[in-house]
Amino acid sequence: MKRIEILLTLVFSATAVLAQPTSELIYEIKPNEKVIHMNEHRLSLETGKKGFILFVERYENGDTNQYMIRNDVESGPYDEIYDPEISWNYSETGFYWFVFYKDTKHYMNMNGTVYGPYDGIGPAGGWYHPIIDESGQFLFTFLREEQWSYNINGQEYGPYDEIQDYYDSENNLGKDGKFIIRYINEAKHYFNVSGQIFGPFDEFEHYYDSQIDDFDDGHYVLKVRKDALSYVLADGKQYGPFSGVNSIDSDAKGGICFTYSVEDGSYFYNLNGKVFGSFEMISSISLDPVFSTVYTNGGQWFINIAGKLSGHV
Amino acid sequence: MADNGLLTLPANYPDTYDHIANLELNTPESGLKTVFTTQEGEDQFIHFGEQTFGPFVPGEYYQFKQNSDGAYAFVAQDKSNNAVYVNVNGKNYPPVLGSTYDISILLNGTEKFMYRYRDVNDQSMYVNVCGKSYGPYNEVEDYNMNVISPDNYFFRYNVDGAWYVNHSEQIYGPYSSVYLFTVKDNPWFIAENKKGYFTLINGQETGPYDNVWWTTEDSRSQGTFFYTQKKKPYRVDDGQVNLESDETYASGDYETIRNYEFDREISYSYKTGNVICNGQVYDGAAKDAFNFYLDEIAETFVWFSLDGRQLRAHSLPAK
Repeated sequence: MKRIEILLTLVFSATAVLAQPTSELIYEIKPNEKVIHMNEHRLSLETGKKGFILFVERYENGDTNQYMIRNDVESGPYDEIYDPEISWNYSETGFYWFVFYKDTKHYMNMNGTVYGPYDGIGPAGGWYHPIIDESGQFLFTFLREEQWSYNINGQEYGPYDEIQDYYDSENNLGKDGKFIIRYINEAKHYFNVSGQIFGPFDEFEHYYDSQIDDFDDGHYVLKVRKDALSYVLADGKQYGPFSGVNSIDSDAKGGICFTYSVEDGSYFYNLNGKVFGSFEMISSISLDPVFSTVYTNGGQWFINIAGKLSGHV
Repeated sequence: MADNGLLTLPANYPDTYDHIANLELNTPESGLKTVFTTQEGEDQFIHFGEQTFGPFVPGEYYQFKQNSDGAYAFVAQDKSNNAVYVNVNGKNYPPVLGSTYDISILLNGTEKFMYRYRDVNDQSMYVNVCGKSYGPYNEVEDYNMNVISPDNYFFRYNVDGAWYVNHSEQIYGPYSSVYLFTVKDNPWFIAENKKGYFTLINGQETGPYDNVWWTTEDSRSQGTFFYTQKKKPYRVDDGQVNLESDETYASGDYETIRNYEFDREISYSYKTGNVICNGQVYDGAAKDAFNFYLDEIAETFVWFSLDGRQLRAHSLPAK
């Protein structure tokens, strides 16, 4: 019994010892060097010194160059490394990217693969910033010979007169390489949805009025106009023309619904491709948490929840 | 029952209405009922699951709240006398002045409720707790008011420009400002007046302090914050007060990174170089350090330092 008590005491004593910080030398700064982008230095905790990433500026041969040093391997020289971004949970599989300038041209280094030269990079995702999703898919936009293009997972799309300019959105990228991009050529609006082109259209009603929240699974509902008529683009299909498109909703399971009006002023709704109407007016439509709509006919108001009218259950 | 089995519409509902609005669909799984209002002629009705309330005067006073345990409350203007009532679980309480901005309702189970309102007679602000009214006040802040039971409730109010806390008729104040929050069903607060900062912890009002602060709202709600008194820094953890490292916290030159999953945090001072993690002080561990971060996958705090020309990486378990 006494041996067991001693053993237990030893075990508890051992577990009571607080962890101490570990410290290791990962790089000797050379006399002609200084560290830069200090808040983007990372240490791979799997491999320690063999997995660090850091940035230095080096004065050499009468010139100043910048380098990324990753696992003792240098990338460079570059004229300037601009605004790098390294995964917080950096490891051998962690992502990194940075823009660099060299001889007046811009380049993107994405996990070791260099894209360029370009005349400029951005603005999609924010100035110079690519859009990167959790699985490592990426999208950035670039300027070449005064025309804009997209780079999506290494594949170029373009050139175009204009590209969408909203910032900081991952809504363009879906699972398994799906993507949705918008561009303008000769003043006409187009969409490229994973290679399927929609257009030309005269107007695009802003994303806030459309639904691409669930694009992770490839679902989208977009409102566009052409020759003063409205159309709906939804999951590979084009609906219309209509006098106007009002409410739109979609859900993560791929369900879509939208309301629209036609030339004689009557209203309809489309639920997953099936048309209902006509109605004098449709005041609301939703798929959350199940389908519901409120509409008027013959001066009376009706409520339809999950396909059942009130009073008819 | 609807086809998908998710929703039930009462069979006695009429086929049509003159107007339908405020539709709030809910599934039985949520414990909440579907609510909407209808209008027939000049009469407004509220439909809540199988129940219909009304007729009311159609207008701006509509408010509806419900909990998953079946408790509900709404504000509506009665058609018979034009009075605006707060109705809680089917019972009308004394009429209130009809402004939806003044009325704020808190439901806590089917028996416990409180609401802030403006009285129709003196037009002052009051708080009704489980049917009993408290006031008059110039202002009542509804943020973080709470009712645990009819005998354990708390809210903050303002009279003549000063703030007070009413905890079940125990009054604290006057203060120039009060941050009130709930810790384990009891009110805690951090307040300030000309004498300094004060706290209410486990029913004890203490102070004045030189300063009081917290690292995150989440940690404050869990009862963890810091204060300095006579330039000595203290840390409060769930009511326990401990003297902290003078150097780190007194300087105010510190930062904290928290690992929320394991409720561990590291604090470090750029000024002294000390690191405090899980109550352990590591002298000089952050000297000339930069770029502290949490590696969430490895559950490890990481930072770097420049010692002369040596770039060093440091790490400490964060779980």
